[in-house]
Parts: sequence; structure tokens; C-alpha cells
Amino acid sequence: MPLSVVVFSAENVRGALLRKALEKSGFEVSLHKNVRVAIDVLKTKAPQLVIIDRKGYFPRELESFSSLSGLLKNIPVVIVSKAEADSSFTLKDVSVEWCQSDPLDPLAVVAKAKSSLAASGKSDLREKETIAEDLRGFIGLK
Amino acid sequence: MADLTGSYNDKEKVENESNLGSRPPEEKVEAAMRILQKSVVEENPEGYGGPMGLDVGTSNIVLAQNKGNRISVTKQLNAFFIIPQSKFTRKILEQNEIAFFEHNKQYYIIGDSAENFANMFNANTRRPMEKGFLTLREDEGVAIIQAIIKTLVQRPKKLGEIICFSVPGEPGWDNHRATSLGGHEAVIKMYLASLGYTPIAINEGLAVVMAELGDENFTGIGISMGGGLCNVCLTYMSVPVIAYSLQRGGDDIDENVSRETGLSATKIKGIKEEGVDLSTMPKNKIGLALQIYYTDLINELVHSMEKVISSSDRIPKIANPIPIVISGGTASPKGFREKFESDLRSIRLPFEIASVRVSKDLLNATAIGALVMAVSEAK
Repeated sequence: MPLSVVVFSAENVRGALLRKALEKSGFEVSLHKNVRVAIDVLKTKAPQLVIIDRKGYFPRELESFSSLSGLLKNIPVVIVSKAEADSSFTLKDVSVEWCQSDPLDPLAVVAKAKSSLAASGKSDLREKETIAEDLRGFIGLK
Repeated sequence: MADLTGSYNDKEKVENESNLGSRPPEEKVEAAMRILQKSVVEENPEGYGGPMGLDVGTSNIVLAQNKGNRISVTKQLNAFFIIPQSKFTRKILEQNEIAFFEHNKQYYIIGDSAENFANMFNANTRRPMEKGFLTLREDEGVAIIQAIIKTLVQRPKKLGEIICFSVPGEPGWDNHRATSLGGHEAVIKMYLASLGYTPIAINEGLAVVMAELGDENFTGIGISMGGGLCNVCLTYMSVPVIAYSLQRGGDDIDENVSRETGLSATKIKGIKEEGVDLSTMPKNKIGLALQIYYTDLINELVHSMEKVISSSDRIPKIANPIPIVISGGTASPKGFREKFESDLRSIRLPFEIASVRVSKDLLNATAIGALVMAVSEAK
């Protein structure tokens, strides 16, 4: 079963780029622009990971992400933004990772998504990566 | 829905597009790659089954269909010629199976036959499109383009079959001319839907990428240089990141050279089609004028890329150098690629260019790319 990811992105092209890169890495992606649907989406999709691309959202839209803390308690979140210390919204008791937004690096976001999932124990990625690391060491690539 | 990606003209509908339940992306890519391995054959259409790609260009309309182990390509000139109505003329047209329709007591000869008639009457054909868009100059523009498309695209065997058709990008450089991409796209879409298809618009530059850059993961810059305009699309993993059009093309070269030499634009077009060589010194006044205006067009195109791409904040981080692939009849002269490459050295872009190449199938690449997209979208 592919891992399910919900992506919020206000900009069509950025959203499409993130979706494409995630799908290529085997994720099942649900892409949304409108923050108002966030609660319904999180309830119906029950994703393993949420990605919020902050760029292009209005401040009041960003504030409304704060209200999702309860729903995101057991779901790792990757925030794509200009700066790591982003005070536009707060997710309490949520495991949050950060990724640089400008320029958008879809492959870095995918890597961050994988590491967040591995850290949260939601995938067997950590095990696979350890094996890959061992193999790299074995053939002298490390 | 949209992927290999989106409403391909940069207006992607995002909400509730989860791809859940639709075809997995890896299957889409595989379907696209399978199409790209087939040989291309130009032939008359025989039956309409399966997804199709349609290049709606200013000069030509090209249909590409998937036929077993080959891609079948059919063309029609996007032009018309009006002659007065008479019973005798009608009989002759029908006897010779010439495509035409009747309006306001006149016969509108359409497609390839229009050029033959124009030559007979020593006159020029007219076009329902100008600079990549439907022109409002011709009263019957919509009816004419529908009639020309109809000579290539009949009703599908199965209702709802997917047809991807090419549309130009918004003017992004010399934006002094009002265009209506939305209106143009809607007219074509409405007509194809009325025939029973599910029409999807694809940017011309993206179509070139889909036809040519499968091995590069559909990442690079696709350029289509047609009669009316040049379309540029920077694509990352099949996502159109930047798409725009330069409102100049082969027709401008014809008109400018015609003005300089005193020969008709149709004559210049004929000379061009016999072959132009940009890699050697011109032999006469016409050759010199052609070199000057080709060089001018390439120069403007390359500088438009610098201006549009460098000023965009949409560019994702592109770690590896990416290819540029150029297609369309205007890119056919010998030495074209070298001239483009040389001009490219004079500009700065936010990523490295790996190579510049000219499409394997200059005149059909857009239709083939649209077909690749249609196949990957088909359920």
C-alpha cells in the first residue's frame, strides 16, 4: 500500500511539482489549495503525512492551520517556508519538520517527507535506509 | 484530471484532485514511454479509435493516432480560399472530393485544396488563425476551423474518448497584442466535445517535451517554432512550470523578406521550404534577407527566454543541467541549432543547459506529444 500524503499548496505550479515528485517516490498524493477543506480532508483521507507549502497563503489562511493541531497530533507535518522560525501559525504537540521554500526543491521535500515518516515509525523507510547505508559502506561508497 | 500533469495550460484545478482511484502515475509514464517507442507514419485516417493528439497550429492542423505498432499522422493545411457559387463549380468540387462548405452564396475551399486553388487563381490563401489564435478578422473563422478539423477528426467510436489538442502560451515577452487564449481554447474544446470527445488542452511547448524528452524524465525546455509564433515551456517532471509565447514565427520571416526583396510572401515561403542554410554565406539578396530575419528571430527568442525565465519566482531547484528541444517548421534550416546554441551562450539562466537539439520529427512533434498525453490520460 502506498503511503498517503495530503499536500496544501496555494500555488498551482508548486503544488503540481510537489505532487509529481511525491508520486514518483511512490506516495499517494491528495493535493489541496483551499485551507477551508483541511479538516474534512484530514478526517476522510487519514494521511500518514501532511505537507504545508506556506507560500502564497494569506495570513488568515495560515492562522487557520493552527486549528488543525488536534487532528495532526499523530501525523508528521513538513512545512515548506522561507524561514524555519515561522510565527504565522503554531501547531501544538505536532511533530514538525521544515524545508526551505525558495527556490522550491521538490526532491528535498520528498527526502524530508521520508525522514519524517521514518522518524515517526510510520514506514519501513528507516529500515530500508539503514540497509542501504550498510550496503554503501560495504561497497566503499561511504 | 491532470497529470503527466494538469490542465496543461497552467490553470490546474487542484481541489479534491487526489489521484486516488485514477491511473497510478507510474502506469501513466509507462503508457507515455510505450508511445514514444513507435514509428511515425503519415497516412490518411482510417477509423477513429483510442486517444488522439491534435496540433492546432496557425499553418497546419496535425492529427496523431496510436495504431498498433505505429503512430499514424495526418495533416491538413489550416487555410481556406473562397470562390463564387455555381452549380457547375459544386459538381466539379464534389467530383474531385475537395473539402468545402457553402456560406453566403460562396464556396469556402478548406485545407490542402485551398492552396491549389490559390495557386490556380494566382492569389493567396486566407487563414482562420493568426499568431496562434483564432482571428476575429475572418467572419467565418470559427466555422472554417471547425470544418478543417472535421476533415481530420470524425466522431469517436467510443463516446468520451480522450483527445489532447495544442494551445499556445500567453504572450510573455512582446505583450503588446491582445489575445484571448481562454476564448480560443474554449471554442476548440467545445467543438471537440460536441463530436463526442473528452478534450484536454495541452500547451504546445509542453507537447514538444512530451514527444521528445521521455528519457530525461520529461524535464527540460520545449520550444515549438511555428508559422504564427514560438511557444516555450519549461517543464519539470512533466509539470509545466513556465509557458509563454513569443508573437513571432515563420510567417514574420516571410513577410519581412518579402518586403525587402519585393517577392510575394507565398514565394518566399516556397523558397524557405526548398531549404535554407544558415551555416554558410548567403548567395544572393534573398538568402541574405532570410539569414538576417532568421537570426533576428532566434536572437529575440533566446532573449525572451532570459527575460521571462530569469524574472520568474516559480523556478524549482534544478540540480542537473537540462536539455532544450526545438520543434516546428521554422527550426528546419541547416545550421539552425548551432545559431541557437551560439545565442544561448550570451544569456544567463538560473540553471545549466545540458544540450540543444532539434526534434527528430519537426512537423509532427506537437501532435505526437499531445497523443502521448492523451494516452497517459486515458483510463
